[in-house]
Amino acid sequence: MLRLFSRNKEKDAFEREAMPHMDALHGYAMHLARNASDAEDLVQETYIKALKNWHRYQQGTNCRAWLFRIMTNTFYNVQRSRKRRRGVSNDALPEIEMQVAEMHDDRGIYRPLEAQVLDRMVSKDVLEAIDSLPDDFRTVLLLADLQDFSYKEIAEVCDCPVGTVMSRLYRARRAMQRKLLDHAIREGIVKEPERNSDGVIDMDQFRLRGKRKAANEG
Amino acid sequence: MNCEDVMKFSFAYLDGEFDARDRVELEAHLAMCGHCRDAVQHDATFRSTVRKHLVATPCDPEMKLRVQQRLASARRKARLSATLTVPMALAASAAIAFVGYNGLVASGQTNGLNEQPAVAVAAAPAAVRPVEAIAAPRADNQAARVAGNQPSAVAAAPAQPAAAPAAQQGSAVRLVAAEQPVAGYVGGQEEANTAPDAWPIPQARTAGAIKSMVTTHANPLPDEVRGGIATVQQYLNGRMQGIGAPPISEGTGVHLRGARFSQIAGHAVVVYRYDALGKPLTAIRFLQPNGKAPFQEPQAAATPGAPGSQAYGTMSNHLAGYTVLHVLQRGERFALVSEHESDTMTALLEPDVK
Repeated sequence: MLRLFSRNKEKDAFEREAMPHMDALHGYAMHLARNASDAEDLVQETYIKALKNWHRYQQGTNCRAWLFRIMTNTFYNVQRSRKRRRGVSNDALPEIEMQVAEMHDDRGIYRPLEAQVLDRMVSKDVLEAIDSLPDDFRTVLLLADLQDFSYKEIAEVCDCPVGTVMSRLYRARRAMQRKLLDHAIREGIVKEPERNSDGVIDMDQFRLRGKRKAANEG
Repeated sequence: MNCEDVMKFSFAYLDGEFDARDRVELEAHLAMCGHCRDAVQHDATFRSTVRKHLVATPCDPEMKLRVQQRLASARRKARLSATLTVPMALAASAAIAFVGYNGLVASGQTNGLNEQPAVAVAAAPAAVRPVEAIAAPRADNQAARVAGNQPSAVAAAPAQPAAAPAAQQGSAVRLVAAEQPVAGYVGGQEEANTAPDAWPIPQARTAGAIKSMVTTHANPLPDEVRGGIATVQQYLNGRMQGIGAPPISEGTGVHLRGARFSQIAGHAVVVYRYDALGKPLTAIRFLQPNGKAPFQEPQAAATPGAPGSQAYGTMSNHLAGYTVLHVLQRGERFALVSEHESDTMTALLEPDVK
């Protein structure tokens, strides 16, 4: 009889603490997995694992962060096994560094987005920009801007130092800004901003831009 | 803090990761640097637009049901294959060696999380910002986003700078963990300088200070706390002792929208933002040099409630279409900034309660 009572109490605690986060977890899963079926799998797997490890969770503490950590780990496990199967090696990392660099002038100081670009940020473009971020950058951005976790919480969820969180968030956002700027340039809303004020053309940047333009049009 | 630092840390600031000291430093820079002010404003708009569009798609009821069913079947399987009977309460203690077999773990199944230390996540609440007032507006955002609404009212999402992030290669910004709210706004440095000549008002009357107040009003940085008098007062009380009520009474056509800490001409201030009779109005409360509770007029403090003591006196300046009114109210100094005429603004002040 004692066992039954304990189990019910524990089940109630799980219902009370863990279940309410399903919507939030689903929202996160949709942007991690980028399709509804994989997202549901992710939610299910997360809750199964949460149930199995419920005894490890100290009740009344940060259940939301604990669940998000489980989901993030599960997601990375799935990605790893898929990459092994498909032989895909990288995650478009050099591109993001280039996008970040292009948002800064030669002195390394950030150049703000023009107002027209900000005004024209529509849902579709924003979500595309997020979904095209590499995994590591997408996760921190979602945790910050979709889930509103603090840097410290994000560090716990992603199991990395707070400094890394801050750096990744910064770069994720600058890369997103560049994507939105590119989109605005393609639409003809703004012109490609001048890179050098003294009129000298940076040949490496020029070639890089040409390559990307060709890739976009090809 | 220089321009490069500001731009590097603008998002950390907007995300509410700065402690009080770094925030004052950054805002002091913004008050004097138009380029950075524009850039941070752009980043704030970008950030709030991203958040506006990033809405969590809630689960449909069928999916919820499927998850519940799967959990139920997992529980059934676990009960059938249970080998040890361990009461839940005991099992919660990580010190117990056989904690893994509590009747819930199906036989033979492992997952990548077994090495996850319970301690690391249990420690998470320390990372959760302890200040309720900061959590509250975001919780509202959160609820609205999950429900599929697009709250336009919070499109300019409030930044709640409270805790500070970690340091990078020898930058000017210190990185400390989230601070508990302390009495006294600027943590640490005591300044014994409360002599009358340290009174901010002579300085606050200078052209630079007045321009600063107009800028604060006209190009507002995001509020730290949004809400009416009760919400704002709770937020401020959580950060410093002895702060009085906001200077303007709520009423028809007059509503407090939010508040933030800032600095004017080197003085720590609280900035209250109102909608007043169809136009924005900013009320600025001067804090002590060390950021503690507000200044009190020495004479008023010496003779509280003496008959004939002025409820308030005013002085006004006009700059670029704005009126800047200097107000003495119940011994405290305020500045009000608005497009209204000084008579209109005076009429809005809290009457002296005898």
